[in-house]
Amino acid sequence: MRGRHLALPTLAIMRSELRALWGGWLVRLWALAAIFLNFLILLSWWQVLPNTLLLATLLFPFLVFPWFIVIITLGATAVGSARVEILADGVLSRPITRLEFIVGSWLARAVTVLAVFLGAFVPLALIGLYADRPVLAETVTTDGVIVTCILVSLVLLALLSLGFFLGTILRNGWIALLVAFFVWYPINVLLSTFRVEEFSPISLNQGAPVVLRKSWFLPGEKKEQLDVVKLQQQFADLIRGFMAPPQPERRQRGFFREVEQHENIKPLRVSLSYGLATVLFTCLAYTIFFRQDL
Amino acid sequence: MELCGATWAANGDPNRSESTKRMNTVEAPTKKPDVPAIRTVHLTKVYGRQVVAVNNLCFEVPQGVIFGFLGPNGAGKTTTLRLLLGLQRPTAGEAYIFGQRCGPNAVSVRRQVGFLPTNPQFPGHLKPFEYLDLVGELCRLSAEERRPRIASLLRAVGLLPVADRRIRSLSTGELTRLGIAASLVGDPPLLLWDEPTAGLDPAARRFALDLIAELGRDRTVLIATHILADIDRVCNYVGVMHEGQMIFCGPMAEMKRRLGTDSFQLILAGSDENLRNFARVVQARPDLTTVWSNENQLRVSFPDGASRCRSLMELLQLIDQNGLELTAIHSGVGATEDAYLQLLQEDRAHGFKRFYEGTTSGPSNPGDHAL
Repeated sequence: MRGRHLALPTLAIMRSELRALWGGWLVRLWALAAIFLNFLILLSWWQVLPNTLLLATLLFPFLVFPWFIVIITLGATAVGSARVEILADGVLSRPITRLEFIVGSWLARAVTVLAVFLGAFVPLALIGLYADRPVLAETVTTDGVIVTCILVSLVLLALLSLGFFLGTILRNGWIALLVAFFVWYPINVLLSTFRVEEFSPISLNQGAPVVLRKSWFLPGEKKEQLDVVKLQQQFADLIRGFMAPPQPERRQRGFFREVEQHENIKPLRVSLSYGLATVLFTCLAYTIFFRQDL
Repeated sequence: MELCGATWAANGDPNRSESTKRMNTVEAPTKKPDVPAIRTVHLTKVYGRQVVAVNNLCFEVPQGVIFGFLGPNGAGKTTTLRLLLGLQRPTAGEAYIFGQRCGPNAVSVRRQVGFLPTNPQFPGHLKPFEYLDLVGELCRLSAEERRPRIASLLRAVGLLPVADRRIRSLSTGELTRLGIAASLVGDPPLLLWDEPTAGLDPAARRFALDLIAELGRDRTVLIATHILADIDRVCNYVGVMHEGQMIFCGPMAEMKRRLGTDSFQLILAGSDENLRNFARVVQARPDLTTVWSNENQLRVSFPDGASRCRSLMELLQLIDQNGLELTAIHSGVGATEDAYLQLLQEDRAHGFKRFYEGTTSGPSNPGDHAL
């Protein structure tokens, strides 16, 4: 009972923020656009891509482009200048701590981001998996789908926390978005430079088919099909085509130089790195917010 | 306490559940009557090493008073309130509410404070009941406690007819009423209201002032404003802030008495010659202090110990003898305004002496802060 009273402000803020988010045009439009775009992707590749590559393609808008802009905006506007007065007068002048506010606000945004991601990905992924499509038969494990969803969710939460942090430190949602754009967009090149391309969202997108095929929770035999690997190479080329013109040899010496090296993806390591980034950005946002004058 | 027909007990809300009573008994600090409701010790706030908003502020507000927090625009009133609420951090000094130090995480302090900001901003997508319910949750009130309380508050502030409308569609007066209700949801013993009558029509203003007088019977109320008529009508204690410092803090009567403005303003009608004759006569009298603020407006102050009735009667006889008509006689509002303006003028006239006064004044005796 006492614990419930203690959590009451955090839950109240979370509910209020959720109502405000889903009552606004940004989240509603984003949810509709995300579902619509994934539907278009599904239709476009219906007769071409096998299951794993189709699912990886459905993840592309979330991991690479364009939804990172929306996610960072959601984070950056949480405590931006336009809202500070309302927050100070209406919420933070009441008997709550700033930590309770930050946690409530972050949770509301995290729930929103995950709801849109899962809402736009899972139903269409299930259609793609279980429909009778004229493509190469390929096994996708349940473990693989769960691990992929967890990994992508962690990436999205890290992005949200980055936006949260930038919005808190810069106190202006639009400037935060601009800065985030310049931080996030070239991150693949940056990680490749430091030979940790495994952590880049683009590489994760390229490695998703491997994750989807494996059985992660139960030890099972490794099933690798040469044709699928070739298709995966084509998919990687396709992604590169989206991202940039053909790269010179010097810049291809990343973690995943050869497509077979996607086998080296370590979900635990990736989870830990994005989990740590999420915690770090959120803690920094709280520390800065705690010291700010409202 | 009776609030527009709704029973609203400051410390004995009939809807308060036993569990919450127990919780509050454990968590709420014991208020001792001798502890000031508000106390600041050399409170200072400087923005970016450029703007001094609050300058070595030391003052106390006793419990159970209606405190008028006066000062011109930019004097630092709102910043002081924000420092008390922990929304801002002091550059130096400390602030206490009921003996507890204020700060960003001082939940137990804010639990005892009901805050009404100037032109309050609300989440426009909510309805009044929903917003007050959110505030109740932020105050950690259980549903069975807060919902009946919110219903009676909505009725008390006259918002029941608009309870089904979105906040964004409410008028300024209705928003202020909602802000007032929000500040009362947690049933706090201290109310900090920043310009509660700003932008209100006469009826809404009267409602707000009557409410302040009503609430001031069983709790401490601080009203920050620069509308002197409001202060004069409801406050019994006053603090005057100027350029970030408290230049007077004490009872209202003390302010008027110390500045010799416990006076009357007479508005006369008559020929110029009669007015000149009358002016000569009253200026010759040693028992009267007179100031002509206009050619037919005279402010008269009586010395301490003199019978004000007899002196006033003699003065009225003089007016009659000089062939003048008494158009109006005023006291109160004008006196406060004069006292206030005189305080500001004297503070400016003190020049560099203010530095010594500011550094030597202590918070223990509020009277020390008066000039």
